[in-house]
Order: sequence, then C-alpha cells, then structure tokens
Amino acid sequence: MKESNATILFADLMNSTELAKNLTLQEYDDMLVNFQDTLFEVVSHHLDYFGYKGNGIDSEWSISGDELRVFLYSENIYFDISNALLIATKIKLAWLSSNYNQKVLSEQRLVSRIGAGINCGKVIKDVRPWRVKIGKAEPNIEGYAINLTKRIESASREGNVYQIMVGASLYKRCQQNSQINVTFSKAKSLVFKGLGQKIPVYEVTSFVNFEILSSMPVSLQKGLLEKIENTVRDAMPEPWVFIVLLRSYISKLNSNNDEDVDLKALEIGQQALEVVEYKPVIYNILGWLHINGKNVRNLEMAFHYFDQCLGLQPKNEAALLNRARILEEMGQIDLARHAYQEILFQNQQHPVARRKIAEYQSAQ
Amino acid sequence: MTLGELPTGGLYIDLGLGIVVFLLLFYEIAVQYRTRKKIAELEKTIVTFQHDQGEVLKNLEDKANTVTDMLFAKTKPLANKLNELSKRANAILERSEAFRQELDDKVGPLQAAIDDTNTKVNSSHDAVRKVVQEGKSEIERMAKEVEGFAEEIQLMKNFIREGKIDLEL
Repeated sequence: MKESNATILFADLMNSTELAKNLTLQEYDDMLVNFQDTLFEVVSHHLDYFGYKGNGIDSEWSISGDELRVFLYSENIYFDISNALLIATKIKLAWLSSNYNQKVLSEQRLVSRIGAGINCGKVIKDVRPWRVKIGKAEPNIEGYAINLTKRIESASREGNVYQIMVGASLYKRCQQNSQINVTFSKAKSLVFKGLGQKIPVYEVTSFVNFEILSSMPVSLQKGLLEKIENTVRDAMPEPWVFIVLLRSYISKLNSNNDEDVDLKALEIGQQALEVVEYKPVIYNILGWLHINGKNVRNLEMAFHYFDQCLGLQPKNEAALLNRARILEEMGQIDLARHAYQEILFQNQQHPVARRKIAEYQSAQ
Repeated sequence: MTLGELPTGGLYIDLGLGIVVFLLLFYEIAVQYRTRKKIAELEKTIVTFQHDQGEVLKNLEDKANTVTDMLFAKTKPLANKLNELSKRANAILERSEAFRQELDDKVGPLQAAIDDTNTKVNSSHDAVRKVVQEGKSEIERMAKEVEGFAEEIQLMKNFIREGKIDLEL
C-alpha cells in the first residue's frame, strides 16, 4: 500500500453518446478503434519520450471505451502537471488530425472533440487480493482526487477554449510556478453530483509549450502541420489550435527552417485575434514576431502589441520584459530601466530584470 | 719402208715427201729454238722478279725493323711509365685492400650494432604504430563521443532557447 501525490488526467469523447446513437454499431466501433489507437500511440510515446518508467513505478494509464485515465506520480509535481497538460493537448491535436476527423472536416461537419480534466491530489495504490486471485496483480489506484477529477472532466463540455478543465489544486500550483506558461479562465463554481458542495473549476485558456508538436510520435508528425493549417481555415476553428500553430511557427523561425514563416505566422496571428477570446498570448506572439521575424521586423508594432497585452493583463511578465527590451534597443535607456523596475516591483526575483538593473547601477 | 726402198717411179713423190719431212723438221727445230729462247727469257724474267722480290722483302724487313726500332724507342718510356703506374696501382690496391680489411673490421661490429638498432627501431616503430593506431582509435572514439556530446549540447541549447521563448510569450 503506497500513498502518492499524483496528477490525474481524465479524457473522453465529448459527444460519444450522441455518436453512438447516430452511428451504426460498426461505424461507432470503427471510430472507437481509431480513437483508441490514437490515444495509445500518443500516450505511450509521450511517457517514454519524457522518461516515465511506467508499470506503476511513476505512472499508470489505461484506455477503456472512449475514456483515457493517466496517473503521474514522479515525485516532481510540476513535471507531472506539465506532462498532463502536454498529454491533454497532444491527444486533442492527434484526434483532430486523425483519419476519422479529417474525413468529418472534409465533409464540413463538426468534429468530435475530446474533453479533459486534470487535477492533483493524494491517491493510494494497492494490489487487491482478488486481482492476485485472477492472476492480474496490478495495483488499484483509489482516492477522492480521482472522483473529483472525473467530475472536473465532465465540466469540460462547458468550456469554449481548450476544453481542458483543472481543479483548484492544480490551478494553485501553476500560479506558484512560473515555469509553465499556462493561463486559466476565472473559476466556475460547479456543483457535482455526489460531492454536495460547489467546486471551483478552471478552464485552460492558453498553454504555450514548444514540445506539443516536437514530442509527437513520428508516425503522427508527418503532415501534421498541414492538417492543423487546414483546420484553422475551417469556418469554425477551435481557438486553442491557433496557439499551437503559432508556437510551432516560432520554433520553425527559431531554427531557420523556413525564412518566410514569419509572414505566414503574422497572417494566422491576425486571424487568431478575431477568433481567440483570450488575447494576451496572441498579442505577445505577434509582438515577438515583430521583434524576431526577418520579414516583419518592426519594433514600434511589437511595442504596440505588448502594450495591448498589458492593457488586458497589466502584470503580464512576458509583455513587460519584451517591452523593456524594445525600449533598450531603441536607446530609451531611462524608460527601459523604468520598465525593468516595473518587473521587479511585481517579481523581485526576476533574473533578467535584476541583472539589467544591476548593470544600469554599475554604469552610473 | 725407207727411202731406198721407195720405188723409182715415185721419185718426185719421194722428194716431195722428203721436203715436207725436212720442212717439218726445220719447223720443229725453229719452234724448239723459239721455245728455248722464250723459256730463257722467262727464266731471266723470273730471276729478275726473284731478285726484285728479294729486294722488296729485304726492304720490308728493313722497314719492319725500322718500325720495330721506332716503336721500341717510342714505347720504351711509356712502358716504364706503365710499369710505374702499374706499381702505383698495385700499391693503391694493396692499400685499398688494407683499408677494406680495416673497414671490415670496424664495420662488422657497427653493422651488428646497426642491425640490432634497426631491429629495436622496427620493434619500437611497431609498438609506436600500435600505440598510435590505438590512440587513433581512441581519438576517433573520443571524437565521436565529443560529436555526440556536441549534438546533445546543441539539443540542450535548443531546448533551453525554446523553453525561454515559451516563457516570453
């Protein structure tokens, strides 16, 4: 019997009941096979790629019907949270670009989406005697956190951005750690059946991580970017896809793989401003493109976008930092120093701002 | 049949035959005379020729003797010089032989030493080559490791750079 601090992820097809009703048994089974294969490929590759040993040592996962369960307990909670977010985004992306959904998209029908719920909490692992008796000595994982995560996952149907919902436990940890670039909606207090009280639930509104695409299984990477690009040309693109796509363009730009990618990124970024409700991250991406894109370099425009971001989120550290850098590059030393001081005012430990202020002080 | 026995009726015929015989005899005598004369002349010519030949031979002998004398006179000092040269050559040969012997005496141990050194150098060379070969393999292995390490570093650099960008968006 072992108690662990686990990060739990539940995911399933949001409209599976509806699909089961409308499709023939064979069609539903074909879809489910495709769905399970996609989940298997993504999750098994991901855990191996990020060094999880599996077999109950630091992780456990299973697929049953249209439901995926993942338990991560590597003893580094932030690593587990980041991986749970990555898995949730990756399975959504892989399912969106699956053969089944590509066919649905080509027929201009609404694709079936995956909803996910993630939370952290204590679980207990134990091998039940009855499992030993039937020759399957796998441990059972139990705990309130699991029940709660399942309820949180069911709330994903009410989401409209990533449709990845998280519990208060995970939300608080992410607020404490600035190493995961994830933002959440305001809390929605929901009453869940059997829990008897209101539970705050947060929806992921942006998750920026360069490894979403690069850590995909090789078999799924082929043509993936083109499929995502096709998806955003759709009449009703999913907002989160823009963030994934724009981040992948930045990686391409960074590795000099495509010199004109900044032009394409700028165009998609402008489109994203109209579609994505949560705009600060899009403003920051557009600002970054105007600083680093060879074809679209324009410091005034970059400054404008970071300013827009700060208009919505005055404490956005990324926008504050980039704005300070632009001022420095423009030779506005006093304003740049002031901008770095502003960062330190919010986060006294900010390494770049601390170093810059020290440099200014020693230069005087 | 003799002349006496000839019939008298045939006097003229006998006379004619006698004249023919006489003429033939005279002719023979004349021919013999001329032949003797010719032979005498020939003998005289031969004697003269023999005499001339003897003179020629004598002259030739004289000339040969003169040439021999002259040659002798001319070659005698040369022969002396040749003798002297030969003596010198012999002396040189003797000295060379002595020198060769002396050299052999000295080169023998030197050759042995060189052979020994050569063997040692060869074995050292082999050892060095082996070491160099091993070193080369080691260097190649290390180069591969460094290359792999450089790739790892590059990956890490990319990872850090990308991670940094994530946090600046």
